Amino acid sequence: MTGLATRLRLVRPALLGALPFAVLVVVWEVLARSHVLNRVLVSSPSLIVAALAKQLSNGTIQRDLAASAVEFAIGFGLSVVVGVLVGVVMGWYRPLSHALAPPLWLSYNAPFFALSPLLVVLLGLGTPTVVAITFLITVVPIVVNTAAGVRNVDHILVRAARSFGATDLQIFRKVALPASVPYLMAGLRLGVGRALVGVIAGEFFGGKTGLGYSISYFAGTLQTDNMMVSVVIAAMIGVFLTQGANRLERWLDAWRGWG
Amino acid sequence: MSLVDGARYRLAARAPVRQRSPAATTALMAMVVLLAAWQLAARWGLVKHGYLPAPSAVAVAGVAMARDGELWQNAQISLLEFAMGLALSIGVGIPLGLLMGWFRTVRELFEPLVMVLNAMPRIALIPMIVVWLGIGSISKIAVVFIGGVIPLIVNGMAGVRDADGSLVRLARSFCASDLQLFLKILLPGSVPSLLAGLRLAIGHAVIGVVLAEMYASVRGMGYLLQSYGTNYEAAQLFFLVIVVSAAGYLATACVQLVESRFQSWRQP
Amino acid sequence: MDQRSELAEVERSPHVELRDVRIAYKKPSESRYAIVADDVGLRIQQGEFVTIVGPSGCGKTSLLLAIDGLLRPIRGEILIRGRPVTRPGRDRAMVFQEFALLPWRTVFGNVAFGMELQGGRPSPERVERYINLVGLNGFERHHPHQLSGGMRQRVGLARALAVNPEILLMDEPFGALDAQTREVMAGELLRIWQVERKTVVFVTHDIDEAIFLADRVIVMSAAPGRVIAEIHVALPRPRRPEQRASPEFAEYRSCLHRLLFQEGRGEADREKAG
Ligand SMILES: Nc1ncnc2c1ncn2[C@@H]1O[C@H](COP(=O)(O)OP(=O)(O)OP(=O)(O)O)[C@@H](O)[C@H]1O
Ligand SMILES: [Mg+2]
Repeated sequence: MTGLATRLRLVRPALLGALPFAVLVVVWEVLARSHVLNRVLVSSPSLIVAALAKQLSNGTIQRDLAASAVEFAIGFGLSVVVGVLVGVVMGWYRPLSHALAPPLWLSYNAPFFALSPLLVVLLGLGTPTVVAITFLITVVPIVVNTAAGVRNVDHILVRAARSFGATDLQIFRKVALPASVPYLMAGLRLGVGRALVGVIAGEFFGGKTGLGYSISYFAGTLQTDNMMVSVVIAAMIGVFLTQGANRLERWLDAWRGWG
Repeated sequence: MSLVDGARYRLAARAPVRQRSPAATTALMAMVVLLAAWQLAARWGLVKHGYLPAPSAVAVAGVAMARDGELWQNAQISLLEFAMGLALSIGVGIPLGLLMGWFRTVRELFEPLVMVLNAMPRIALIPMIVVWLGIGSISKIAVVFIGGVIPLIVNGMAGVRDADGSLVRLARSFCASDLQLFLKILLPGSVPSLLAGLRLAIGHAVIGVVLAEMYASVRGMGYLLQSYGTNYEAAQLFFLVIVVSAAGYLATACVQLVESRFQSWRQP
Repeated sequence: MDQRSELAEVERSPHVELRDVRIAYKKPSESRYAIVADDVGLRIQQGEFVTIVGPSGCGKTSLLLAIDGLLRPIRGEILIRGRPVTRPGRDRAMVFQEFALLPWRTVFGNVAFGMELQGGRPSPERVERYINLVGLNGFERHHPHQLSGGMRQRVGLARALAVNPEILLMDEPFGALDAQTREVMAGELLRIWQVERKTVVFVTHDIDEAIFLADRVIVMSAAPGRVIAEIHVALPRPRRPEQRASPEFAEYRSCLHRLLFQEGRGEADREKAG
């Protein structure tokens, strides 16, 4: 009896949390089937599943996923490398951070994807343009957060480490780096979200394959079922990447000794 | 009876400006150097000719666009869509987020859904929204709303849940009712978190409105960007990108100004 | 119903009574309880000033929280005027060890906070009176982060005094104060106590303070905390600073010292000095 009660209490959040999804699917399906909603415009869960099966068998999804994954990996990877390097240097040398502040803040919310026509001419349609847009939109929050992390290292801690005879390298490795991990992680989290936006938006305007391209193409040709498949997959990738970021954060916390 | 101490805040806000003035000088000098380098790079054709307009050309194009009213007309439309969508997301997101932080059942019910919406690139919904709501302003408002409402929900929830336990205990000790606990401890305590959420929401909203207008629209800043882009009028395009960026920065800076006032409470 | 005999009964019965109280915290991710205080029995009379001393971590704060009604003992009971405590009440106010000030309110707003929760808007004069009482006049419009540790602590003190409780639960309320302010505040507290006849339970690490203030000093053992001694302090009242130098005071001091140090070395005899 109590065992059942405990188990019920444990699965309660999962059950409750699944409820809105279930309601959404059921209501959507019922409304679509009873023609209350126009099935061409809103599709329906069963139609989406059918479209998914078809896309899987003819390889559309695989192709889209591969293209988007490559663009994401290059764009995000480049942003992390460049962003962290620039951020560390910026955090360390105050004047540099003052000098770069205005252009950085200006580009924080800049609509770089609007430059896609020029980028397409300069770099070529598809992957290069999408990567460039992804990089431009992702690198800024990583730079800003990394710099803030390095800048906000507690001076008392640094002084304490010095008084124990720590070398610069030791201070960086044992004080500055662990202390800036939360900021770095915040930057990476923002970066993951931004990079996804960059890939999708980039493919809207400058891609020739990929999830974003498919979403835009299927929407334009009113193939709502197929469009929904890509949207759902994009959402799942977002969830997957966020979980990855959470995992990484826990791992870093453990490394810092907070595990 | 919280007495907001206006005078202190104003002083605190003014003091750092004087300190920062060497930084401002550095920033200004850097700007000048940057613009000069850009001008020269464009002049010497470092980038394929015509695709990197010189700052002077951008300025000329900007003045022309401002003169003939095209800029303001379209900016007005985008601003309106942005403001309405953001207001809607504030009106829905903050109460919903606080509610989810306060009631466990509401949270358990909606948290997974919110988390999925938070993790996904919500701009992927733009084509769908356009199919459903058309190419007018309604669809833009919807895009801004969906972009902004999620970070506000997430941060509202976090603000309540991460409330300082010792303050909750304090209120309980003085026999606070649930309502008093909420109004006097949890709500003011979540203001910093809500402001951070608002800053994120603005970012999503700016990108959302421009992207949605670029995707399908016959007016607004996104429309202008799209039409100058497809005609490869680089100077106009750069000018518009800078204007939108500056507007986004301005909105964010306003929130940051308020945020910095609340930062000072946080005990070291 | 004979009202007079009922009243007399109330007079004789203790104001606060703890019977075999055991306090424990559930360990996260475990179903086991960690006992932090055990077998605590105490009878505190109306108007009595009781101080509690004991090694760090022995459950003093937890005990005060339980009396305030913020923490439920897992065994035994706590009675106030014969009624079991189930939740915080207006007859009790606590001064928290970690201050617990609202960072977004000024000193004025923080002092008014307790009154506000217990019945509408307090008059500014009333708030002002308690701010003056703890010597913070001139700082009404400061926020907690602009105050020193000692000043913050006094805000918490004023907040508790301002609701005019029958029972004051004070958790190291002078812990962050300098020696002079500490003595001044102690004198001030005694004055208020004498005038308003409050029942005070006062936790401190300062042996002299414990003796100077108390009718009775409760000595607790290391965790899990138990009461190992109760010392009745028979120094005449009103107490004056000079008394701290008296031979009787020295005797109490060495007695407490011995008890606490014995405790520090290990098992202590359950003794009652008096
Ligand atoms: N919320 C809590 N959850 C779990 N354990 C707790 C909690 N609060 C206190 N404890 C534990 O209970 C024990 C007693 O804590 P308490 O704060 O009552 O001690 P104390 O006597 O007031 O110590 P000090 O003199 O240092 O203030 C400690 O071992 C502490 O780790
Ligand atoms: Mg304590």
